[in-house]
Amino acid sequence: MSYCVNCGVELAPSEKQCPLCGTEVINPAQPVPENPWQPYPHRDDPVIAQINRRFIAAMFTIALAFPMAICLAIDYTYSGQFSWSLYVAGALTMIWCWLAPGFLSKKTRFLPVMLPISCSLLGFLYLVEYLTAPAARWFVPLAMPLVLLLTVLASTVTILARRAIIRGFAIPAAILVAAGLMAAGTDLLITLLREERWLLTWSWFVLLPSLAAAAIFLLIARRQKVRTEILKRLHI
Amino acid sequence: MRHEAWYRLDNVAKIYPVLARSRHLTMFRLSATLTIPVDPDLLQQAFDQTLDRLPFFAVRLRRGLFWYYFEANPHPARIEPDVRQPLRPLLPGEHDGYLLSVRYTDRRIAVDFFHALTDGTGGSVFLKTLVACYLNLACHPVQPDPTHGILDCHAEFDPAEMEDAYKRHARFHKAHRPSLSRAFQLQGTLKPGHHFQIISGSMPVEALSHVARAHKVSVTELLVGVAMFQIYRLQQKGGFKIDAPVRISVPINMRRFFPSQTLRNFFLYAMPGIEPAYGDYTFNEILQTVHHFMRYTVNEKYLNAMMAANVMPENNWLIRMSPLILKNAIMRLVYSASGEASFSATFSNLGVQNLPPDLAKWIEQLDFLLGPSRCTPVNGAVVSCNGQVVVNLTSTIVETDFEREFFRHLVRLGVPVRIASNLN
Repeated sequence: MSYCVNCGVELAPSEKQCPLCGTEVINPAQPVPENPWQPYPHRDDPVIAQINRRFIAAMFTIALAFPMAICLAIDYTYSGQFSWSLYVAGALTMIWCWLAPGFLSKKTRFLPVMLPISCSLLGFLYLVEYLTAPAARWFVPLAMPLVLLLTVLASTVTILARRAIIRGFAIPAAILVAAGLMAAGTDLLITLLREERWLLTWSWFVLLPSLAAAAIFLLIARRQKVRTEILKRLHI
Repeated sequence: MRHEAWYRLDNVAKIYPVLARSRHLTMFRLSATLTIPVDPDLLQQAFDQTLDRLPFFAVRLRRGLFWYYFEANPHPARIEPDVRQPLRPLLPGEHDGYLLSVRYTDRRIAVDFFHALTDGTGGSVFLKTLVACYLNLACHPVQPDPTHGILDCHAEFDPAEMEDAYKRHARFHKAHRPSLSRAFQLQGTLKPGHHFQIISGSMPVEALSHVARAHKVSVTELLVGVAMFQIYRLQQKGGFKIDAPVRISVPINMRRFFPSQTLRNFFLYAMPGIEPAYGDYTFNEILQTVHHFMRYTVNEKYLNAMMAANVMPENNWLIRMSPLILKNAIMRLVYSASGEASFSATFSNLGVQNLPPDLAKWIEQLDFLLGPSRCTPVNGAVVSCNGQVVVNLTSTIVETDFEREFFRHLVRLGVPVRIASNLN
């Protein structure tokens, strides 16, 4: 057995130098064996290459911000004002809002995606209306209600589920109902804008299947095996 | 898992999937060095039989909409040769989704566990059952002995072994966790990738117990006291913020206070520490601080209050209904800001592993390794068996100042230490 003259600890035969201070083992009475038993082999797993998502998000932001800045600069330089470049800026900002959650999180879910989409979509649509034909007034009667309806329906389902007013398999059923209502709302708003009257036309073909699918979903959920599969993926 | 299709993560386990890919500390290793060479074919058979007996270890981690969950892993489990740098953070798809890996060298059987699966006590039962099963297959009969954590591989699975004991035992409705300021943490040159160094010191139980008795403290308190004193000395040497508190996180096995057969996580942390801003500390003062802190906090009442504080957020509907992605982001932030920031190192003592004679004669040494992290670059894990205490210090930094001073201190106290490492 060899001891480190510096640390006073005994060293295993596998240690050619003291792991604590680096002092070499020199023991004429007991030379280091050629193939001592190694507590850990020399083999190793490959080094992990980790993806830095925040770095990618930063690069993505720069990649969008750079053309935006160039367009704004060119537009202002040649025309003395911001005109066409605002479309580019608005569109790129909207794209960033849509895609950023995907880069900043490992797996995107509904709510963190929905809110940036709603707000950025509203902003971009208003910008388009403002820049093209403010007199046409399609943003307030059509675009804004549609986007808000979507947001409200999504939020309603979420709040109902969070407050346990609906639970279990009522939640996916509620989502299907909300999808049907969204189609009906779209239909109503378009008819109101074009014909100035409240009337459901094509949306019946969406609303009724949605309601039927919600009912079918609840029926399927009565099956033990399917219920277990769904429960384990959605348990709270 | 053959007995139940899926199950929820226990209270403590919920944090580990969030940290899985980035930190070593989500992994720990228990290994047994045998007196005979390991036959890989027999070990594979023993592994299969052990997983049949303990099916909740044969699971993979899945993402639900709101929480992670475990489900039975349909792939066959395979043993692998050991590596120099064990405890690599969990990667998706690795080991066919298994959350533990059994590795072998010529005489060593090692099991790397993902901490969401089990704690040190559960892991030690798995390892002992695996080794006993292997020895039985190798014609070295070992009788099952549940009191020593050696289960019968041919017996039926017991559901009590997979209960979430936190939920059963947490009884307070109002409890709060004391807030802790940011602690001093060692710094140094980081090793690349998932690499870290292991310096292992083995010493006689009798010599260490004698020193502990002389100071009127337990062995755990002595080792934690030595570690804290050396971190404090390194802090005061210069180059660091000298006023920040030095705290050591000491996992406590809750089964000592709350009867449970569970092999899933059932532990909490005690966090003894000193405040260098209050003045200079001697070794004896630090030892007494650790001793009295442990006596004050490690008892049934205090631990139950801590446990309730952990369980309460899980019952909050707002938290439960939040999507997993949101929970993950918040948990990552909270853990970085107040979790791992509040202690300087972790020192876990698995205690004395009493083995029956028919198993003890085949086991030369047990080892327990705890993965270090970037914030707490040096962690210690202790286990004793066959009259030897083995202290494994794992570190993500190149400098060995802490390890050197720690073991030198033990030598100065009169404890003979034998060093081995993964550096050669």
